Amino acid sequence: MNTVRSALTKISLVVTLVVTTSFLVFINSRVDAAEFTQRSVQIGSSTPSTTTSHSFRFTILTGASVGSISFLYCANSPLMTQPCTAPAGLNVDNALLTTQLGQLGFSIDATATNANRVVLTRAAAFANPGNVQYVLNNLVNPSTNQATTFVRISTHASTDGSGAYIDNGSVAFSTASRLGVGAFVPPFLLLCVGVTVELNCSSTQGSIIDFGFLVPTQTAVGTSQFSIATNDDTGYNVFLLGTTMTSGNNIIPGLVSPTSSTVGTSQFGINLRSNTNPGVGSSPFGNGTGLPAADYNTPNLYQFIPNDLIASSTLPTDFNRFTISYIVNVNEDQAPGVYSTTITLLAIAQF
Amino acid sequence: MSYPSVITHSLKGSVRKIGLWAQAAVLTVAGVAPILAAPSVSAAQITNRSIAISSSEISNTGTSYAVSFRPATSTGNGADDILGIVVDFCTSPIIGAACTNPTGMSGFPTSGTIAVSHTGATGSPVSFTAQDPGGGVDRLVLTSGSGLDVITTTNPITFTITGITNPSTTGSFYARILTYNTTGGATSYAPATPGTHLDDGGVAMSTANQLTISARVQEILQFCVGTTDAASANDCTDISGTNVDLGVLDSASITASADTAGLAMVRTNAVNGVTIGYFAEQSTLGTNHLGSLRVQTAGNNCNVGSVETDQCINSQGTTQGTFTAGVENFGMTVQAIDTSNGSTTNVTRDAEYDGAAGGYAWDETGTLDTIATSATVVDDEMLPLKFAGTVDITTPTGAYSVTATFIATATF
Repeated sequence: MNTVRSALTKISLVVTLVVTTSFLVFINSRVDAAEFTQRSVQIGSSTPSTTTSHSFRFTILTGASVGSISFLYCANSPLMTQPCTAPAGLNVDNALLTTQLGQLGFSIDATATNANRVVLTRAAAFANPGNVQYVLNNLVNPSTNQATTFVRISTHASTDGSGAYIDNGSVAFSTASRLGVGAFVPPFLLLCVGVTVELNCSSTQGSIIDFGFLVPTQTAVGTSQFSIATNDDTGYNVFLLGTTMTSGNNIIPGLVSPTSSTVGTSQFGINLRSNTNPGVGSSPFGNGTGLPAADYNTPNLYQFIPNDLIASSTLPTDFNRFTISYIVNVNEDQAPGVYSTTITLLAIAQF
Repeated sequence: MSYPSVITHSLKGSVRKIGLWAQAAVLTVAGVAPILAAPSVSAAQITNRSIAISSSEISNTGTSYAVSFRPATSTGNGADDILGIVVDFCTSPIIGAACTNPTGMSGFPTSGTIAVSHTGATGSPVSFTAQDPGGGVDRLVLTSGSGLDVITTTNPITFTITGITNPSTTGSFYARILTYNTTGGATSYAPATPGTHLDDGGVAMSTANQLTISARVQEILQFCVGTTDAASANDCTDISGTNVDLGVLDSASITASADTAGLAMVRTNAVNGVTIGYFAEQSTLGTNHLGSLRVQTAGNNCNVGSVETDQCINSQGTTQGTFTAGVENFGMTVQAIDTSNGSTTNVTRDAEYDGAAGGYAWDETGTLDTIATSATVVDDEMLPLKFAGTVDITTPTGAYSVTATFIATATF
């Protein structure tokens, strides 16, 4: 009996080893199937639930008759031997094949294709080893953010993705959050005034214009400047506030319409141009779109109407520097006195 | 020569057992030979005999066969020196029976010397000369004029046969070992007529299938984008946030975000590396510059070209450049590669996003633009993303925004 038991034990051990060996050989035969090299999937968008494209590239290694290519999307594992869990939210059932390179002649197998598997089919034809690319469009990404999805790719002799695969390989992609970048541009209206100013308002100088002694035989002149810019969509308007020159109850009349300077006639006026009669002032300077108002935009014609619009822009504008030319004439009957006025510039933008 | 029938039965049973065990053994030893070997005329059986083969793979070339056995009889100086040794490889271990060589086996030396060791023997190891047995048989015949002198039964005789090609079929095969006290006895050996010899014994060996152990490492690609790293883990699990606020842009300065305002982390075992890129989502509101930093309101129709009076901030484009305060521009750079979370340093910034000389780039076209790559695997390397902008004096007021989608593509 002992001899029999011993023999049975040995036979049992040998049988176990034979079975184990057979299993390993079986597993080995699956692993030895050629694996695509240089395989990748480039997704058109990583945003969850977005309808997008998936571009597959890989290199076929085995020359064989190929009738179909399967793209199986799984959330759990890229391994061909493992069960596949369909990624939540993924839908490739309406896939469109928009590009095919390398091995050609494929179309979507609508029957074999489902929510997580796309099968490309063609009449079986020999496929030489080499690079291929297939772009599938109209695919809905998985709905889970920052989740990896595996795509098991395999070639088959059959035309519907069934049966043993010839070559295979898996790729992976990941959904990801989009990144939003925000910034705020505040409204601004920059205006600076002085006897002289820098174009960009970085500095101003002076606030007093002294005409000296006013005499009937000569026009008194002076200048001041302002520079202005805005990012208001509708631009700006600059108004002139103040009165004509006065000395107590005595006044030097402001010009109520564009008028030439006349020596010996009491008048006070301004414009925003370079003049020759008398020689005073400068034309507007800068890259902005601002312009003098029409009544103040003609050389050698002057006007002064309180609260009048003197310059404007209808667009957001870079800086323009305007030079205000002042002329003062008096007649022989002009009452003596110290004449003065204060001019205020008001810029308005409508944001 | 004839044997009692009872011995014949014992032989058959033992052979089967050895065959079974031999299939399971990679290293073959002969422990059952006392039962196997038929006694020769006046010969005793060697003990503790074995032949260790360096590979059990069928048809393996260059295989070494290490022979070891203890003599059956001790002798003194000059008495019954071992002057010849025969190791004959057959499909049967029975000494005195006809020998069929194992299929495919070859490579036995027919000349040259082999060192034979035996502790205590005079001059050990002794150099024996391989003789040609003729006929290309799988047999080693060793002779020595001086031989092994002073034999003990407690110490093994050992030598190694090298350069052997294994049998081409799996299963058991055997060696018959015989010792002679004359060189002529060894050279005259024939399987069925081994002649007068000192000791003998059989050894069983086996070739076997090789076992291939395989494993599979699955493809990995983990990629995330965010604005905050909670530093509670060294991977994507603690990356969160989706919005970067640049704050107020003005024409007097360049407004830059924090160096790590945006974060993109990647991990992959793709042997051919990974490419990380982004594209600017195209606004569905308005026209032109749809992927720029712009006011996202219906009817915001920006102008073609670089215009500073519309509500689309000019983009730097795909060529990195430095900004000038007051000259409308928007861009992004990869401030560095943070490798502190993993074990690799394989990601390289794209030359247009490496922040050289404080530069930035931004592709507003909606086309995927690469910002970093690796040529091999990556272990949780992080890309800190920095954004910057400045506006012209005329850039209209408003809340400007743009959304970017980042994509990692691994090539396995």
